Amino acid sequence: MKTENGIAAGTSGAKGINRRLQPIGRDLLRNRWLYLMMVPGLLYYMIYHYVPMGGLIIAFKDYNMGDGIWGSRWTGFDNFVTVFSSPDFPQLLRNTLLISVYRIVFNMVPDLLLALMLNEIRAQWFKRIVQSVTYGPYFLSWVIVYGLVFSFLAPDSGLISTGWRELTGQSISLLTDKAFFRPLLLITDFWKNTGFGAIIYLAALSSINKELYEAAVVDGAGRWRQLWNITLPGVRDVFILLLILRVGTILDAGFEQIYIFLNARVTEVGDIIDTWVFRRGLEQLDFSVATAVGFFKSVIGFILVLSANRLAKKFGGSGIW
Amino acid sequence: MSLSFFLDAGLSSALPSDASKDFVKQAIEEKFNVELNVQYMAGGQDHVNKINTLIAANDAPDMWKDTSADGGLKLATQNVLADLTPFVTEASMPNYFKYWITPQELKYFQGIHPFMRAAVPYEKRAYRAYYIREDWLKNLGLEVPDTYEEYLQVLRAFRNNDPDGNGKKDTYGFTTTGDSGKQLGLDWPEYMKNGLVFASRVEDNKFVDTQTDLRMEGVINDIVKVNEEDLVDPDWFLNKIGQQTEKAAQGKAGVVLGTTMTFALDSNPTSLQSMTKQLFPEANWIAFNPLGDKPLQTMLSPGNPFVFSKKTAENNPEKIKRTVQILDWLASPEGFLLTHYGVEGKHYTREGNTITLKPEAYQADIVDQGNFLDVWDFFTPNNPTVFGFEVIDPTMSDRDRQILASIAQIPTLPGYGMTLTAPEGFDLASFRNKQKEWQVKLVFEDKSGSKWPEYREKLMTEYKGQLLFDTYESQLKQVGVIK
Repeated sequence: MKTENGIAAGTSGAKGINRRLQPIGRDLLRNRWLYLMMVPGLLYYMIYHYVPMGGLIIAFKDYNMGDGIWGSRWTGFDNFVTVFSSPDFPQLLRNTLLISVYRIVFNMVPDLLLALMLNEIRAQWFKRIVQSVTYGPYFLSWVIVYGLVFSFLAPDSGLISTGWRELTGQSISLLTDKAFFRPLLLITDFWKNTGFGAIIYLAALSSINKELYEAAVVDGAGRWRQLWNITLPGVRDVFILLLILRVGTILDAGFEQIYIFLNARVTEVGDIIDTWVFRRGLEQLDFSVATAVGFFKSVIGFILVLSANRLAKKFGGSGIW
Repeated sequence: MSLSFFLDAGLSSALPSDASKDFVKQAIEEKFNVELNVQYMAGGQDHVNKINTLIAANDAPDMWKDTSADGGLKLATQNVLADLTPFVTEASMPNYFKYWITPQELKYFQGIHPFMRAAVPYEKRAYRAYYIREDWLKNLGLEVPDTYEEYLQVLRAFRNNDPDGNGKKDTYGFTTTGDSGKQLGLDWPEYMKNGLVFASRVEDNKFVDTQTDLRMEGVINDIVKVNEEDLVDPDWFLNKIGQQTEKAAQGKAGVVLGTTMTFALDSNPTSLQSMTKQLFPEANWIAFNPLGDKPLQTMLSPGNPFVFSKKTAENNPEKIKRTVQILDWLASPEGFLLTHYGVEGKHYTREGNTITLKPEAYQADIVDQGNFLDVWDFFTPNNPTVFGFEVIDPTMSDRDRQILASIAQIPTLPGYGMTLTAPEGFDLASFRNKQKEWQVKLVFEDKSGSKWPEYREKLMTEYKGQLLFDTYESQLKQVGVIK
């Protein structure tokens, strides 16, 4: 009795609202399980990506661990002034940008090339072996990679250094060579990550309609023609997408790798914003200054992603949005 | 009651994975009715970073030993350390004050800052000495060098005259560490040759920062010279800290610096001497001073403090009180003996004040279990003489005694015994990094120190070094070290 009344009252009272919310409500109801499945993902982004953004306010404060985020003193833009007036800043910015651009040029193109080459291999077993072998180094940490590099290049005991000394009678010290530092970063990055980078292109390549190739063969197109007119356009969107994403992180020049590879003789060409932030923030407990730099980096990255996206659309690509 | 400690330990030391073998932990837990949660890492920047991260994550240990270069001052200004006034007193820590640290020392250590850091008892005897392969000298018919010129001659002979007689030119004179490619380091005898003594000091009523003194020009020139002559292990710059000792143990170099008492003693199973002997049974490292009778270092000042979490002190002061009791017990004869020599009757025997060690039992129960006393002895240096103990180590050889005697003859300069603080907002890391970077550049690229005064000027102005050293001097004046 009671329940029946309640239901009746509820339905009649909510009629007006219901009508307005109906399209959303019905959609929610119909896809409720799908929406439910989305909740953990949304929560993850809320908790780990949006809530911590609140911490950015310490960029405008003199953060003191004892006083906490709220208790610390406001300082306005002082931290930004400290960063930009630091005598090291121009050099840091230059190194960061250069290394990033080099990475885009010298590491994105090889990824694509490797994928194209793998794509042309007809023997499946061979393709799989090559793929696994090139993919393997991705799972090594930079510490291990540095250990390998060190055992090749250490001035006295390194394999290559020893070989060179035996051959020419002169000693070389590539790890501390300013001219060689950036190439060294790129070469090791290439060795470690190319196999992994190629995977996404392989996926794009496998989605190209096979009939296009057959039609091209009928029209008398050779291998290179097929590559130029079918394969490359087929992966163009993926390439541009990755490019946009990388442009967005152009002020991250690869902290993990550089922090390990850096030494005082190559600081001039290898010290980047992130290594400086690490020293300043964690080693010096200057969290506010470090956050200010992080904030600055994010703003620049955001602007760059937006502009790269606009450009991509302008030149006929699809962009991210 | 559960207590969390963060300690420091040697690179290769670890607490036993089987907790029942850790008799120190058991003893403390039983005696003080606590449950200990102990973390440890080798002291240094990584140790500091790890603790900073814990603090930032609001997960600071109740007590930790600080190993940062500024003696924990940065943390004190961050307001995360407990005020020690109610906890660390002569009444609450009788052993600490009786045997190890005088109230006056503690006051100096505190300097002009609030009492948040207390010095961990430290080794007051200086053990900084150079070590040389005496067997190599003998092979080449040379004497132990007594002046820098003689030292250079020996380096040349070690490099060129095949001291190990293996027919290959694969030996070097000196080896050292650049801390994985970060700096020149302070190991070079060239500093002393140019009148700069290890660690900074007060000279003629002025503060002298060894690393940035004008005399560095001469130091750099001399270092360039030995490098150019190819007398130094070419890997020195990239050597990790400690790797230079390994290099020396592998027979690659004939001279290396040691800073601890047992650095080259037979009685220490992991000493330079013991390691070298595994490869070259006839090897014999002896301590010497390439500068003759000049001092190699200033008197040591207390370096690492022990500190407590402010949060714990506010929410649970009982925990701090209990920790203080534990620390004071570690500073007592009982705690000292247990954390340095093991269990009485098992690892040593005691008659009055004479302690006789049992090396086999020590090896089996302690060294083979991760050498875990190296973690627990964090609170006291291995100096039994403060209690009037005489320790008889059956493995101690005549050679060992001779080394200790020659180290004792190396003079030391008086130190100033306090921690100096950089002015507020000063970026000490950038300053030191720039200094190190430029000095490395002078050695490897310019191959001359002639531009040092120019770089130094930049450090003093652009990187505000003058402000730093003025601040140091005024702090020294406040406590009366400089008049």
